[in-house]
Amino acid sequence: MGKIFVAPGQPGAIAVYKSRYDHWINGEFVAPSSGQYFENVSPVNGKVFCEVARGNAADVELALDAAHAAARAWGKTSVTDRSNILLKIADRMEANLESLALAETWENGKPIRETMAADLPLAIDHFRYFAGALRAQEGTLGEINDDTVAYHYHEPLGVVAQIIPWNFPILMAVWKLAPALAAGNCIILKPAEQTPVSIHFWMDLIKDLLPPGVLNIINGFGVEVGKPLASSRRIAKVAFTGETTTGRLIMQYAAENIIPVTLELGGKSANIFFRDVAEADDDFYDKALEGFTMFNLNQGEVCTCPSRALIDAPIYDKFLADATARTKAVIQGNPLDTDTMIGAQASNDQLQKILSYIDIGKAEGARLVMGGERVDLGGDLSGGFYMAPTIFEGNNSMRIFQEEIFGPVVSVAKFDGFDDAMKIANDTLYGLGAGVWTRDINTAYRAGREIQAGRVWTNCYHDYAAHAAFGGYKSSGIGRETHKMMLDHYQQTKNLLVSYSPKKLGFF
Amino acid sequence: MCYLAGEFRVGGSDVFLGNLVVDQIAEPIKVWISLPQFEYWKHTHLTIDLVPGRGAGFSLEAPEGFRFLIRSRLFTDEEWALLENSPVLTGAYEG
Repeated sequence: MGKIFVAPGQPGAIAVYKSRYDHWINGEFVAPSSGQYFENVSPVNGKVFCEVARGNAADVELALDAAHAAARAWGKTSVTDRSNILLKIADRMEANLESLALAETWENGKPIRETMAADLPLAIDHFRYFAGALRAQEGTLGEINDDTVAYHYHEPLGVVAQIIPWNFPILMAVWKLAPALAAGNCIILKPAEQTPVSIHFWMDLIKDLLPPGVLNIINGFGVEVGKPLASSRRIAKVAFTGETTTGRLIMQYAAENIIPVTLELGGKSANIFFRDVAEADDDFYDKALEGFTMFNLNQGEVCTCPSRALIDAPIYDKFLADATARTKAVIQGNPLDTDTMIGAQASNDQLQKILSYIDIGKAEGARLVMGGERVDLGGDLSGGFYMAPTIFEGNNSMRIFQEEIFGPVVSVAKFDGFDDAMKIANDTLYGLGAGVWTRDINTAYRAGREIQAGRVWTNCYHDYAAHAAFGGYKSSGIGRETHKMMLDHYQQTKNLLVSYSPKKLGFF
Repeated sequence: MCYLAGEFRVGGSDVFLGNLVVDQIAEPIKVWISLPQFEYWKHTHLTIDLVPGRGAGFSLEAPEGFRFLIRSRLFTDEEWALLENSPVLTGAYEG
């Protein structure tokens, strides 16, 4: 029997949200200069559970003042000290894992089974990974000739902006925070307006571990906070995860200030099942069926959602039938119930967007195999944003095969052999993730190298381990997160070119 | 996404779809789509609808408590006959 967590706001809940959240600037809550707040809704029941500061450009400037004031000292803090702080943050999170998981589930709508088994453990591990990566990082030296040596040092960029999406509010923040803090930067972080406060819940837990001004959180809307932040001349870098058009706009702002960006944008990942997958009805076949069903993880609100399933012609009917049966076994319910496998979409507008894709899928002639409708869970959950797991059959030129739906919707197509699979897989604007399922290592290797995507899961899917680089080809972004190379994205290279010769060159 | 005029730089890789004329707004609102996306979308008629929500990205409607939502349907044969041979205007021609 599963356990049902008590909802925040009810007596006995292990996570308690405040009724109002201000900005977090210079180590304390600061009210928005506008005096305005906006309501924050839980997608679990569609009801308001707190209000949040509605920030503006003046608030961004205050946060920038605090970050710049803290930047020099934080950048000079020894790597040992910074690494130890990251380890302490991880320990603090581990000690409060269940309450963080509950806070995250309540704000985002994802099942608590996932926040407890994935979001939070991954976030904790991420801090530990970058704590270790930092300690092991070394500069280099190059001996140009007997008299001349080139030394390369890593230096922090200074003050950086980070704009966080709503699908993994804490984990996506941590993907950016851990390397930026490790590298010695101060941060202005803007959470998504759909999920603005779970990061405050986290901040409240760890606030004594970071010096004031090192990490500042400004809430509000994209146009009122994100824009002045991303276009500010006072930031040295902007990191963004989100939708592709916004990524392009952020690159424009960065171009105006000549600063670097890292972007993690949309995806339309192909999940490819070669014919040998169904050679035996064994553990591997079972795992492959689970791999198909992964489009339901996080309600499909993942940039790498395996939203295009490509199935080899000889096994198409059998595999799709088995995969559909597996998807029908997905338990949808109260996100606070540990038995629940799929919870609520993060917002009403996201639910409406998904439903609009159901319409266009049908209009284009795709066959609805299952799902396709909003789900009413009854009782207090009636107002929540629940979408049935949905399987479409169609072809790759349909819009449901080409656009990021960001919901529990998979579009299935048949392919005929290796070359056809690669052609379909790469016929997309995006290149973030892909899955390859086969018992043949040669097929696995060749498919993995041929697919134009930054991450090709091979006989697995949705693993987000630190130390495996994650990022996009094509329109899916720039840069690689969850790997020590992200440290470089938050560092300048300082070269000291030193002559050890007392003799002049003789030019003048 | 809906931005202030001139906020988003369009170029040769963008397609101009048309002007939206909106009551109480003096100037028409230009609607653009990226060229690669246009290739996948061009057979569908788009309606820009408004639903309650939190907006997205830096789009202007977010603080108002709404979100623009694109609804789509297939063009009819008659509509497609008109559109099929119409010129495609890109941002490269924008004055």
